[in-house]
Amino acid sequence: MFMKTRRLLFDNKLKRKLNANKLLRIKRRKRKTEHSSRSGDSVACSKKRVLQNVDGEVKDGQTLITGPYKNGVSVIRESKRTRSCISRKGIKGRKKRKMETTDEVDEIVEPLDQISELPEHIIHQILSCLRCPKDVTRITVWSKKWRSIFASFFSFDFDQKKFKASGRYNPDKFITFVNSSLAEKLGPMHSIQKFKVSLFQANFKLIPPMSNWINAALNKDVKELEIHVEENNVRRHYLLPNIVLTSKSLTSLKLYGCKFGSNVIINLCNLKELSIKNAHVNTDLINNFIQGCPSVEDLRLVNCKGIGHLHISTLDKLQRVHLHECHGLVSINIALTSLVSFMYWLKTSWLCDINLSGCENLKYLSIKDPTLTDEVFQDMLKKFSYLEKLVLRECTRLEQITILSKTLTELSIIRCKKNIDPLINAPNLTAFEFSGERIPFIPFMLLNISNLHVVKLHLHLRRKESYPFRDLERFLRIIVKIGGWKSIVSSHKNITIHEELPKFERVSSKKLKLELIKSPMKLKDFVDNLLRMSRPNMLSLVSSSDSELLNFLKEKIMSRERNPKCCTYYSRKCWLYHIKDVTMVILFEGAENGDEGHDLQQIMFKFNWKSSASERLELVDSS
Amino acid sequence: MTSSKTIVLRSSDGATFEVDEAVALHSLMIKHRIETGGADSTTIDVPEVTGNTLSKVIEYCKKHVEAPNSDDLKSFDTDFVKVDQAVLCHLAKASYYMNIKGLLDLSSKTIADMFKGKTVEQIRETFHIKNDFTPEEEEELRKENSWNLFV
Repeated sequence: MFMKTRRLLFDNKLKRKLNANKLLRIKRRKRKTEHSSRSGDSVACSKKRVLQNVDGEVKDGQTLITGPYKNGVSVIRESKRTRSCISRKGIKGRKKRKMETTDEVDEIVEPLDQISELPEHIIHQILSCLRCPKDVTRITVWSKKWRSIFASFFSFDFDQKKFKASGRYNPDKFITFVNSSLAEKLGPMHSIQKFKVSLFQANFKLIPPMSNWINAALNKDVKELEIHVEENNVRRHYLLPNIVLTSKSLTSLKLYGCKFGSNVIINLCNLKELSIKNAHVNTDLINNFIQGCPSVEDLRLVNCKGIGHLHISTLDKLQRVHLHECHGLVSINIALTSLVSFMYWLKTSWLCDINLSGCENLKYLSIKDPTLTDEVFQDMLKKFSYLEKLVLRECTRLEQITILSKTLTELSIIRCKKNIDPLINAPNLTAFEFSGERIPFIPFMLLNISNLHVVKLHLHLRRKESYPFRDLERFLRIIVKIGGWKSIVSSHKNITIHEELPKFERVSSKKLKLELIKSPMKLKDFVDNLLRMSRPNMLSLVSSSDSELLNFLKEKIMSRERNPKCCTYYSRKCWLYHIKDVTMVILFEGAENGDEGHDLQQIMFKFNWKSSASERLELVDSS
Repeated sequence: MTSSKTIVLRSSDGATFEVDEAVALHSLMIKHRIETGGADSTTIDVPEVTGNTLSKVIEYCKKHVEAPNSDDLKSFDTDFVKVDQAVLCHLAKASYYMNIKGLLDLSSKTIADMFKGKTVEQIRETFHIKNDFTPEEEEELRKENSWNLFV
């Protein structure tokens, strides 16, 4: 009798479970999924604790979920052990069979799709890390949800130059193309992320449709708007429709070659990024922008003529200001405690009064100004007690400067005056870069180099100059006092890497690039970069036989595939793809430092790179 | 040895973790809670994060607070994200909720790297994304985007 009622109760419970589980997808999958492989056990443990709060039944060491789950917690599969527990519990015969079949039904093996449940902000961040448009558009096929995610992240990019390159062209064709694309794709979307249109010709035919397109984009609450008109004649710049300047949805506005109406009202309350390039502006317009964009964080003015006096004190979110080649800029006055990065680049001499006295939190300062004097520079430097990165580029009036900073971590002095004599005391400096015609006299230059990790030295000597061997040796002697350096020397098309810094061989070329690095990981990155950018003829590596870099290079270079996997789908290939053939020569040198007992060997890779002509042939062959 | 204040963090499943205040402040959410919480703010609930994820997040914060500019930080980060995609998603969510920009950027980038160069089927399998298109819809999609999608 008792057993019977138990049986009945059990059956009812099972029935309810079955009904609940009809909503859940049940599929038999292989036991070990990726989900449970590595972290499965630890994850499972934490989840067990959570499961007890959720609607579930705890059955002697095994937990089953029957109701909807919270927080994307997936179900634990029954382990073999617990299943045998059930059978041991005395369920016999028919009931046992029923239990087992319903166990199969209950067993929800499907690991949960975590990634689709991520908050939108994270998904957008992930998608914005994808550089290749093919990767991004491919997500529309994953599932319906991802199709709609893509729609909200979608960006339109119409480039007249590329359109012209793809076939017979006239402005009308381009207009029809853009119109039809927009009509087709824009309709079903309720908002778009980015809209960019680039014209290489400001043809008068294109102007009215442009305004229509921009209107359409604004109607769809576009967040990033970029208008690029390559036109040097100011009168033919594109006149920006006023409606752009009062949009509530814009967070980023980039304008190249546009002009503005007079007395425009600007109200871009959500704008975070503003970039105006190649435009004729005036002080009032810039002031209007400053007043109308209270939340702007990044302001870039490039090649803008007529700014006059730039005065910013009210934008309390502004973190970055970049001013490049703005002729007509008479004075800069910025007093913002939020300012983190300031870049001021001038091509020719133009006197401008820079006052950044209110920006005491500045961390990154980059100046390219041939009129900058020692006094002005020292004055400026005093105000920034938290400066972390300083770049002085082509500041040809600087002669004797003193840089004292506890917070400075990166310093670059690039192509300044030949006789520049910097005195640097920055105990926390980790990266130092110097580029010029002469190696500055070191003992007074770097007073404290204990934290230095990266040193880059780039020498370009003039024709009649003799090679500064002594200076170079002196420089290196001081740096090398603290050990652990690896060096990359590149001159002409040869790169030599020493993993343990030895005595220097004399290099006789007029251009020498020397990089000293401590971190083996950075070394890998540097070498990768060098191979990508300079395509040397010869790369030699002096290291011990079990060096990580050596193995990395051997693996990558010698066992490369014709079509490397990393860039199969991309049009811009990595350097591996461009190698025609490589020969590896091993020279054993034996121990360089006798007492250390290291067996150093020198390995040379001789590269033969594909020329672009032969590359095109190859592509034809393969297709 | 300076006796720094310690904060107790409690995860959604009741697990508690005691950390130095400096480590806890790496999370801007916790920092905000402490600053606006008043005097009695030694225990902070983090109900959106499970114990396991929280312990990993704390490991990350500890390393980044202890040696913020060291070189092996990069190799630590690389090893830190050599985990399951499910754990990665949990980390991303936790870092978003707890407002830890570094960890959020790291996990987003790692997930993005897992998308690169994979075919649609591979991605569906890796991330267990259910293909809910009907065969007709899929046929339509193929026609629409044949140039890149089904490589």
